[in-house]
Parts: sequence; structure tokens; C-alpha cells
Amino acid sequence: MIYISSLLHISENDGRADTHNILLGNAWQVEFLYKNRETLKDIPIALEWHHSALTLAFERFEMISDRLLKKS
Amino acid sequence: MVEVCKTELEGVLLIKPAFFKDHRGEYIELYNEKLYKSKGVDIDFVEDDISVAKKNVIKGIHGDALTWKLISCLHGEFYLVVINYDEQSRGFGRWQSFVLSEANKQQVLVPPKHGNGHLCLSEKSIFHYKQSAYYEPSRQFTIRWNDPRFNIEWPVNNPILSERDRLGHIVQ
Repeated sequence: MIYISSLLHISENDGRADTHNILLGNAWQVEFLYKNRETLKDIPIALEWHHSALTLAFERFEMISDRLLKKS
Repeated sequence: MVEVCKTELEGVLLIKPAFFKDHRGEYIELYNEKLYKSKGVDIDFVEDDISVAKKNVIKGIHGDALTWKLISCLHGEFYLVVINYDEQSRGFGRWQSFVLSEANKQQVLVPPKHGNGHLCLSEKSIFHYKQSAYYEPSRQFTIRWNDPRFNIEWPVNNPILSERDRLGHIVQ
């Protein structure tokens, strides 16, 4: 069951605190988005990128876009 | 077919090699002298080096006045910063960052008088570079990763550094 909120924040945390860090390169969250893309298709996504850099944020944005636009 | 793109820094090129992938794995031609020269990368390389790093390590920022470097990521992922360190150039101090990974397989060509430094983003990364001159420590310059003159953006606050890189070289 997925609770559908009005905005989905996506980030990487350190396991203890909500640190809002940028996703890792092999982020499990991207696969989660892909598997649930039908359920989540109308939900805006905020990509969090604390302690990161703009270039890396763009790269992660492309990583998510590429995965969600793939057919399989 | 290899794709060669200009960047925000004059002389610095982003290169996207073609690669082959099937159910067995992947194949990539990392460098082909004839092909690269036909695409404008007209440089004679004489040395290949590999630098392995663990997560949150920054290596650099290093460079010299003589050497071209062609940088690739063989394993993992790193965040690469290239900075123009030519004091005679109007672009002195300008920098640009890139993400190179085993997934995107991109390469960056770094000209002489430019520094390069990289932060390992994955648990381990393998940084490969071809050089147009033999490595000579006495020719090298070092710029501190957080040199306040350049305000370089890094996705890390407290990186692991060598003594050389921690102290850096700041021109007053």
C-alpha cells in the first residue's frame, strides 16, 4: 500500500536522521519510482540535494528521467 | 560513434564514447587514436595512470603547464572539477564540474594549465587518465579543494584528503 501525498520528496538519508541528501548513483528509490509509476504518475516529485552540487543534482534528475521514460 | 562536446571552459571537451551492451555485459573502446584525432582530440598520449579512491576522498586539484589529460571512470562514480589555472587567460579561475561514472562512460579532456580534482561518490571509484607528458612531480601545481578564490561547489563538506591536498597552494 502506498500512501499518496501531494508531493513526494526523494532523498538519501544516513539511516539515523532525515538529512535530505542527494540520491546515490545506484539509488533504490529510482526503482521504487519506476515500479510504482502508474500510482505516482500525478504526484510531483521534489529531488532533495542537501550537501550536494548543482551538477550532481542535474545528473540525478537525468538518472530518474531516463529510468521513468524507459519502456521496461 | 564517439560524440565530442564543447564545455563552458575553452579547450575542455566532454566526450561520449559509443559502447556496446548485451546479455553478456558491455564493451567500450576507451581510446582510438585515429578516431579521436578525427574528432579534434589531436594529442599524442604517452602515459596511462589509474587512481583508486574510496567514498568521500577528494584527489586534487592538480595540474601542470604542459600536460593534456583524457579522464575516464572505469568503476563507480566520481564528481570531477576542472579549473582554468592559466593566470594569463581571461578565463582564469573559471571551473566546471562533471559526473563521470561506469554507467555514463563519459570522458573529459583537460588541457595544460588547467587543474583537475575528483571526489569519489561511490564506495570505490577507479579514475583512469591518459597523459600527453610523463608525470613529473616538480612541474605540478596544487590548488586547495576549497580555495576561497574560486568558490568551487563540492557535494561534500568534510572530504578525506592527502596532506598535499589539504594544504594546497594558494597564490597570494
